[in-house]
Amino acid sequence: MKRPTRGGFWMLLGIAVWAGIAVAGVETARQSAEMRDLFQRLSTNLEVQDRLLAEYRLLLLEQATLASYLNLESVATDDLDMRFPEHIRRVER
Amino acid sequence: MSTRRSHRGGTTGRTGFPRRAKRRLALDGPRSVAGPSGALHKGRSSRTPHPPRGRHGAVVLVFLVGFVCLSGRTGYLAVTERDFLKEQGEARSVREVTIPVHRGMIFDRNGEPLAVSAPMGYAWVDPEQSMLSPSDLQRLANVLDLAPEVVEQRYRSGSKRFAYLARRLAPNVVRRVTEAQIEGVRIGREYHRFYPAGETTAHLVGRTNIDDVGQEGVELAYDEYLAGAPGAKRVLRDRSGGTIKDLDYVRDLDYLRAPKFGRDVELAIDLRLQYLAYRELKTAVERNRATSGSLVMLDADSGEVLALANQPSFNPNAWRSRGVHGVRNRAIADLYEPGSTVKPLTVLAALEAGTYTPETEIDTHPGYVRIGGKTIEDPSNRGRITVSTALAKSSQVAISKMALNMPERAVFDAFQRAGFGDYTGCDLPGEELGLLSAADLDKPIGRATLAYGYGVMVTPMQIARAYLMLANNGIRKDLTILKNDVRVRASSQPVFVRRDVEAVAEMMRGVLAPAGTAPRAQPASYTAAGKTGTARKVNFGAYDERAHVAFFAGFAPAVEPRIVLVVVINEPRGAGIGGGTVAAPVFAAVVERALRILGVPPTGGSLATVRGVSRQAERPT
Repeated sequence: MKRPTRGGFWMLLGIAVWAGIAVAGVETARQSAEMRDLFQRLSTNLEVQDRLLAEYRLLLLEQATLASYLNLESVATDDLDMRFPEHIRRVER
Repeated sequence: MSTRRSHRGGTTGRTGFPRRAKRRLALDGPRSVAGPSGALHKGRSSRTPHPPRGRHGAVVLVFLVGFVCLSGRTGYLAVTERDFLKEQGEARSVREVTIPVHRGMIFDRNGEPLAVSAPMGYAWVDPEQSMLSPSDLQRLANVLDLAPEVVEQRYRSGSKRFAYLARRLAPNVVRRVTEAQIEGVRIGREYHRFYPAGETTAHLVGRTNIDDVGQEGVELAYDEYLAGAPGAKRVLRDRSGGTIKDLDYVRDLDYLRAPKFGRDVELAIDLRLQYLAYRELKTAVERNRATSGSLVMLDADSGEVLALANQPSFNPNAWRSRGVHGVRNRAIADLYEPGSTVKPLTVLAALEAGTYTPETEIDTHPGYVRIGGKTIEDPSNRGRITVSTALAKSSQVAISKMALNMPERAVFDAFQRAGFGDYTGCDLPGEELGLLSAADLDKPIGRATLAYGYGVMVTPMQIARAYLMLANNGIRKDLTILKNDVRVRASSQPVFVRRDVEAVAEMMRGVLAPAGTAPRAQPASYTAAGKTGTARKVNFGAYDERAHVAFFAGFAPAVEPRIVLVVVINEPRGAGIGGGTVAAPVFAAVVERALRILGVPPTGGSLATVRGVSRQAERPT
């Protein structure tokens, strides 16, 4: 088997370096694209989360407002004509 | 170039031409070539297939130089002009967009929402880019339900590139604006804070301003925790400004500006107890035509604030309409001379000094005593009374004599250990430190008045902390408005001997007895211990005979207490003015219902029960 000459060795090394650089470049671009794709998905998910959270908060607010003690007492006394008993009584059985 | 010697002598090249002829060939070019036989060849000879070496080399050289130049330039630009070129490229298509974050919610200890941020919209315009015609402004005014002049004024008064047209738009209004399709009017999103409990929790929870920044109460104290931090991202935009793609978070140096959402805060207060406290206090303030009032309820075990109410109050959902009067959190910001509510601490100091026991008799005859030219008097001559009776009857004469029969600093030290003149640890903004001075301790009158609560200024919250210590057998704790705050455990420290504190607590039960000063403070179904207080107010540098502050402070049940309660009614103008008539009924009503809500079984009280027989009692308050 013929031994590569000194010039051939450097040529092979050069080709290897070039190939390495090319592969690294492609991989960098691929990773970058993947990262952007993931970020895009993250952004979309965050927007969905934000929208759902906003809806949850509106519903929570509505529920809390309707169930507030000020409102309950007002409904009890004004609409339902409920009154606190004049006398309290304790019965032990 | 290798050479070989011809068999005919002379030097020839690889082509077989003699070197001389070859040199000539190179000089003459393709015009004529003379072969070894002397014949002339036109152009390239069929026996010479290789192109001329010089030209080939020149072409390669040109390409090589070009490649090196381009590579060098590329490298130069990539290294030295990188940021500039990147910036220029991105300036044409990439934009930075803020990612808004919502403020965290505030809950009570059972998960009931107290403050919620809901998304709303705002309408804005870029005056430089979009000129709104009068008809546009009119349409916009109709949609926003505003006067056209208001809309126009907002349009003109904004900056060159940004003007708010309307803020805090409800979702249905946002939809109407969007559907109107007015050229140049854009919609942004912002959050608005809502408080479902309204004025019930106003002083504790506080409020935010229009930009969602905490201004008072918990909203201010934990603003950083609640607010979070908005993020920023780079997006690819098309010509019309629409987002094509999200690229990445914006980087500031090494810091990635990802959004940090506000975190929720869980408070120690119980909304059920808070509403109860608020309602009873409001009723008492209105009934007694008082200037103001405060109520503080603590968990006797943990030091957590279960309820904090003030009158007057304000509606945080419409805070523009409030008066400055109602915003003040009086439970932590108003200073009062506590009057007789400090007498249990004086008695505690006396027991600790060893000069008195609960049964020690004190002669209060003839119902007054002169100290340093001042007269201190009781409502009537009570003669010889025990220390227990002195506390139950709230005798000024007996307490003054006790104070003068103790070491000079004994009462002062007891007050200091109980937490007067110190922050309570509740973290609420605007808390007052109070005033506890040792300046007059060298004068007998100074020691005497201090012993029954004059010459010292405290907040209702500080009184509550002192009574929390009494309810905990002499262990002082910091207060907290947060649920399960680990700092409270760390702050606990014994400041009085348990035996003495138990003796004082037992004496305090006598205050609520029929012969005490506050039988109206006795809950119907539970035992309780407490102390009344009625202090005159200082107006224009002198004590005002007509302006008083009524207190009642105590805890219930009397044994293994669950809650500590302080009621302060400021300047009552009704039939009664004393703590026993004005503040004590509020204590009884709140304790009765609060303990029932907390599921505490009845422990006694004014409503006696006979097995199988039911009795009726008047409703407290």
